[in-house]
Formats: sequence, C-alpha cells, structure tokens
Amino acid sequence: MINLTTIKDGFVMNELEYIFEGEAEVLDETQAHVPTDKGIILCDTSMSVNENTYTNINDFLNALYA
Amino acid sequence: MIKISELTPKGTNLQNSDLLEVSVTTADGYESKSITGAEIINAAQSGLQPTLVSGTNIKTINSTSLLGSGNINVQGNPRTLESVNGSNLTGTTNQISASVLIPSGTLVANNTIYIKGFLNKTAGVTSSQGRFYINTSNSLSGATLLGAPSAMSTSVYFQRFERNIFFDGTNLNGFLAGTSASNDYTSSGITLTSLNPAVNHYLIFAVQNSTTTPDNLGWKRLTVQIYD
Repeated sequence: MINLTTIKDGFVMNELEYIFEGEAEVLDETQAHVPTDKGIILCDTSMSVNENTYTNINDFLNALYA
Repeated sequence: MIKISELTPKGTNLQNSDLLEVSVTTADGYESKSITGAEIINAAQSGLQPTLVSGTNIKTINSTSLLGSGNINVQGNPRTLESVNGSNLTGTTNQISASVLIPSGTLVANNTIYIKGFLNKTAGVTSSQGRFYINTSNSLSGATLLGAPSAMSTSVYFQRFERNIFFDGTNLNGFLAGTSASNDYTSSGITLTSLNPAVNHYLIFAVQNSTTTPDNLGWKRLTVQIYD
C-alpha cells in the first residue's frame, strides 16, 4: 500500500515531495486527480494518508488537504 | 626402410617449428625432403574460416556481439515498443483498459514517445472518458496523468487518438495533460513530467463511463513507438 505523508501544502509519496497546485477533482467514490507541482496524480482509497485508510475519496482528500 | 605408420608418434601437437624429413627413392639412390610444421598447418587450414573474434574479424550491431546462439532483434527508427488492443470495460470506476511497459534503459535524451490508437464503445448513450497515465508500476494508484482524449457522449462511439511526448533526459514534455483532446495537432501549454529512465515505467490507458452497462469504452490498436 502506498502511504502519503502530509506536509505543509502537500504530501510525500515514495520519498518525493508533491506540492498542491489546486483542488482535487473527484473521479468517483474511490479516485481523484490531485494537481501538484509534479503533475496531476491519481489518488485512490487503496492508498493511505499518514498511515490511515479511508473508504470514501472525500474523507481521503479531507485528510490529505488538512 | 621404415613405413610412416611404423614411426614413433610425436606425442604432442604439431608446432610451427617442427620439421618433418622424408627420403624418397630416386633412380640414383635417395633424396631427402623436408616440410615444416608451419607449412603443414597452413595447408590444412587453407580455405577454412578462422576463429571468429567479435569486433576483429566479425562486426558488431550497435555494439552487440553477433557471437553465440539466440536472436538479436534489430529495429530501425522508430522502433515499436508494443501494439496492443485494450479491453472494452463497463462500470463507472476509472480502470485500466491497456498498458504498455517502457523497460528501464529504453529512453534516452531526445527520444520521442509516439502514441497512436483509437477509442471505441459499442453501446451506451452517456459520457465515457479515456485517460492515459504513467507510473512505475502497472497500477493507477499514484500514477501521473499524461493526458486525455475528448469525452465521448451520446452517439460518439469512436475517436482516433495521437500524441507525441518528447523526453529531454529529465522530463517528459507533452501536450497539456489537463486539456482533453483527440490529438496534439493544435498548440497548447506544456506539461512536464519527471521520469527516471533507469527504472521500468508503464503507460496506462484507462477508461471511465458515467453510467454502468451498456456503456463500454475501450482503447484499441494502441501503438507505442520510440523515435530517436
């Protein structure tokens, strides 16, 4: 499972920092596009945020953008 | 007189410096003749192919030795990575229709990835959307969006797709990822996506339908080529 660690205005994934560049676009209940300085990243609920898992993409995004 | 078959064997391989002496009968007695080991060896090897040494007496192809068994696949420019038909999929989740592996070490600076294919669906009247991504695993989780064809709604069942993506050694340079378009014939902003060519990457072609069955979008005849 891929874990995203939140940082100020972004997150760390696979040891790389991603800085938010806009609001996420929800694709469905489990997936979203997250605009970052490294491109638009597909995030889904198979990933975790700060080691926490979510079943709904909105809850996932709330944790990611918190 | 001693027959040659009665001679004591030398016991070692013939050397260039060896000297073989024989006597032949002549009208007035015997005549001695000699022949060197080098002359015998040269005569025996005359017309035979010397041992092949890569790069010395047999050329290489792109620095690859031709010696040994097996096949060396030689392609020109461009070279086709893969040509594949994706699956037509139903469902409202963004899911993988097809993927193409770009093996580590494939891309070098100034290469261009050329993608062509088409999308079709055989049923449905609501909107379906194709997208394509790149990731180090064959998974959409954590993948980076490279672009999207136009949305396909109502009676739009077919769409040709084409993209050029230049690799500058550090980043993929492509048509603006957030702009949905069938091709990159028109001008747009640029999307830079970092890529480490030393690791495997997958081009992932996904589809998503806005309603469930019967909408069934899929990628077809996807051809991915690398231009030097």
